Amino acid sequence: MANTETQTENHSTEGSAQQYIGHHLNFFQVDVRDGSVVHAQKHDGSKCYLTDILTFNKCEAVHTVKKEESHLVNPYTVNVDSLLVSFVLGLVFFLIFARVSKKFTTNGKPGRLQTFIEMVVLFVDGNVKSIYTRRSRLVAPVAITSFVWILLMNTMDLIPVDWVPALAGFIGVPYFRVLPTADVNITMSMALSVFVLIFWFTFTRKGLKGFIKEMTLHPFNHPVFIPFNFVLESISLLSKPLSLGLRLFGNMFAGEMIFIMIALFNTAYTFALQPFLSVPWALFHILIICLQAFIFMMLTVVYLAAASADEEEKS
Amino acid sequence: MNEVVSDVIGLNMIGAGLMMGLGALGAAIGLGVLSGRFLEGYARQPDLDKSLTSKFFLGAGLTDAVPMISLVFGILIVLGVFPS
Repeated sequence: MANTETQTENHSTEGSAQQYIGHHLNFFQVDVRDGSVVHAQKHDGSKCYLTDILTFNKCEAVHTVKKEESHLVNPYTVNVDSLLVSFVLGLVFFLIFARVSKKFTTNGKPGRLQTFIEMVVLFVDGNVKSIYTRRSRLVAPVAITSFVWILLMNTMDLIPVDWVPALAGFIGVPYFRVLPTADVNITMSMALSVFVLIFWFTFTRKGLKGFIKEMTLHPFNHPVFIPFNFVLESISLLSKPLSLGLRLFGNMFAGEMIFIMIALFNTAYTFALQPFLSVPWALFHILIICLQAFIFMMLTVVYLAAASADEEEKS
Repeated sequence: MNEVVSDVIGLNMIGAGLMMGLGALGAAIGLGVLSGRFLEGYARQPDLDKSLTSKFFLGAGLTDAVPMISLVFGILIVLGVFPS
């Protein structure tokens, strides 16, 4: 124990690259069993609890993880930062759209905000209509929610990497990752809700019989091939949410990681390089931000359209 | 002992380089084919501009995702985030 403490002191003075990256990749995790913050301590070295942070007692990050803890995933932790940011952004999206749709006018000149929202709605609506050709009251709302929400969450990547953790450290929060889509829990939970929707659409359109038929008789329509078909169809079914979630996560994590790498140019000579690296990457990243939100939306609609397609339509 | 450790680190670096490089290679070929075909299709049917563009971006995003993921894991290996 004494050994780890001296290591902590060394690192806090040295501030090595790995330390910096590790600090930026650490979530603000709270253990739900006792409310303690993971990898954090108070000034006197005692355990830091969520109530300490809420009452403005400062906590600091503990960088060295004990060996026996480091390889185990603690299933009782909750990533408070991702949940908070995604909830706030979802609320922003919802309130703005609700306000505009309530004040919606067709007579006279529409305001700027209404024009913008109309553009977004028409864009999503056009894309949904071109893929999902039948009538549904669920698909277009799901599409616009996932598009705008993911777009807002991805945009958090353009906030300079050190601002939010520094601000959080100032008020005593040891870690804060502002980009929710770089948290695999958030992206996979969104992908899993799409997965549930796929099942819902399949069952409501085709029934249990149709679902079993699709799983067992689909590529090769012969009783001999039933086990083979089942394996093939299960893989294609399970790969849908997996690829959906991991694609978004991988892209946003990559973008964040490269911003962190650029921020590592912190010596006196290389400091001036930073704007010339981070600004082009940010400009390129705007494309990725919009593209990934768009792809998530499109693939959701494509999967739902495939789930509700009839047998004749599919072949 | 030190030699073994440095060998392992060196192999890690080679692996990370291969990950990043091969991922980028595949995506480059894919994006080249994709945009070439997009231009071909656009030249043939200029009316389909809008639907082609959206499908092009969809395909570009799908192609772009894989090397990005391998790039990240390559960087993580270079930095030694994964304990070996």
